[in-house]
Amino acid sequence: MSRPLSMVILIAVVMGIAILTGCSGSGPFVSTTRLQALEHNSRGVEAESRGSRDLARSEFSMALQLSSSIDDADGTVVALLNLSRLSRRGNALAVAETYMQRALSRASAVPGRNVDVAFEMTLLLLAQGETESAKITAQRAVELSTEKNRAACYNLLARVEHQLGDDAGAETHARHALAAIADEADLVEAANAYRLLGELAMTSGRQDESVQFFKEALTRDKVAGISPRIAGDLRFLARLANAAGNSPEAINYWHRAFEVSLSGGDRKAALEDLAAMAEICRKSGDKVQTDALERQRLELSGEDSGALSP
Amino acid sequence: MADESDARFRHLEAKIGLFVALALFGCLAVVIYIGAAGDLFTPQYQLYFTVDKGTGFSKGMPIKLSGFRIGRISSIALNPEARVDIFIQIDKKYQSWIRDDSRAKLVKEGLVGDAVIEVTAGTPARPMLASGDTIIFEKTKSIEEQIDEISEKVKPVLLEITEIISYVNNPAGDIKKTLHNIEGLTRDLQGTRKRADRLLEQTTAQIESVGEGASGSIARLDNSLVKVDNIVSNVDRDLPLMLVKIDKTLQNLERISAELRNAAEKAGPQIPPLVERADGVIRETDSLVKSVADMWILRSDEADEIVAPRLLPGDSHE
Repeated sequence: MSRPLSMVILIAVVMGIAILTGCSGSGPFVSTTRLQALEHNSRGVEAESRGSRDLARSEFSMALQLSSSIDDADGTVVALLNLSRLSRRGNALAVAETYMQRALSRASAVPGRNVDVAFEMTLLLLAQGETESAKITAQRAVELSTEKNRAACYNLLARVEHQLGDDAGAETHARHALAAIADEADLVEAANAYRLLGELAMTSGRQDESVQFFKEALTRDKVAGISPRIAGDLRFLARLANAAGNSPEAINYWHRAFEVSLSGGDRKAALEDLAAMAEICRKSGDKVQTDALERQRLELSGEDSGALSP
Repeated sequence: MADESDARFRHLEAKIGLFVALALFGCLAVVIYIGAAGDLFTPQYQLYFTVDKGTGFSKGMPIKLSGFRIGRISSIALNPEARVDIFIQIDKKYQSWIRDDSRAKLVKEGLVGDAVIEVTAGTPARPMLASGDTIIFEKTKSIEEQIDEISEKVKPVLLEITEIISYVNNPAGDIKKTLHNIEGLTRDLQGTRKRADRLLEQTTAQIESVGEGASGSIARLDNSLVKVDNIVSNVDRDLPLMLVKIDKTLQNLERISAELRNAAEKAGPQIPPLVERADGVIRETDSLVKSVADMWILRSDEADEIVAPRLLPGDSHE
């Protein structure tokens, strides 16, 4: 390598380092306690995703304690919302409500979290069967929503309206949700919207449209990889095919739902799928297939009871 | 006037005087005898004791010490406290035996004998009781009381015996059933014995036939034992060599283990500072990585999100 070229490379490297180091910002200062709280919170989220609810609860509690100790309103509200959500998923609704009340009392200090509070409040009210109240909080969530979470809020409102029997409102808001999803980034909410639209179309007798919606939902759920929802979509498609008199297709969908449920660990749903398939075969007079399915169902339920017995 | 010439009246005064003297002497002798029998001439002193009831006591009742009569009850009187004072007269000559720890008690001489007051001899070291002193009275249970007491104790025993007898006699009871079962068992045992006899006979016959087969087996066993003997002799030959080898291996292992222990002892103290230094290096590396990630060229929006707490993911249809 010639000397001038070496000099040029050396100068370039020195300048590069100078640019990288000189222009680096130190960023906002974060205290050690807050960092620890954030770390506990993240560990809680990861533990919940692995299904370790007890560990998640312990991590969120630690995050709450640390955030409260430094009067970090945002950290406190998020920890309370996480604890409430965790308790709701564990069906401890009274506990979830307690955390929610505490989150509500601190929410005014963190305006940016109000939409999350309204969203979780709606889900809690739905779990408690207070659908009318849920509609009010869902509407509040829509009002407070940002571009990032608007689709979810519309979907939630549509779900509440569907439960209240307002199918027209539900369809409108489900379509708003689809429109709010920029370039289909939020697969889960897109699937939710399509699934609800599919259900609404099925209720109103628009079978072909319903099938299309469920297929759209299925495509997105498969990409998102949520086993129970994939099985649910397949079941709806099976029912639609059966209603259309297409038994082989119905059995095909049900069989796929059965496989998904069984592999996903939901034996109860798998048993129901086998029963549904056997019923179709019985109606079509296929005794051999019916007997085979019944046998399979008995074997599976036997395994179930065997697993349960001490 | 009597005729002094009659021989029957001769010395008449002397005869009358003698007769009167004899009569007087007889009377005196009787008086002395009665007085002696009633201790009239014995020097005595008086003691007394108080009891709740005068039942069983009577005036003149003898007082005995070690079976000898030493006095009698002189009087019985009700005192102002509605209790009974018993006064006893004791012959003076026995006073030395009766001390202040002597006891008087009402006893019966035998089952149907007379009641007497038995006085126990006191401790010689204790002071003697003087006339008019109180002697301690020890209450004893009467025969009736003793019988009542025994009866109370015996009653439950009798009841239990009655119950046991009725239990034993109960035809539906365990004992009767057991006896019945034993009877049946005995009958069965007789049958069993007969069957066992038959079985023994058959077994004896079979053992005889097995014995014949066993002689063949013993011959085969002999061959096997010869082989085992060969194997044992081989092992006997090879084992010492193997033991020597194993011994050497163990010695090597011991040496290696000692070396390892020495190495661990030397390295042990260095480990904690080493770990601390490694921890420090990791922390510094972490800080360096964060700094690099913070550089304006490399920084992304996600870097800002690190300082925001993460909300548990959820969706509208959960």
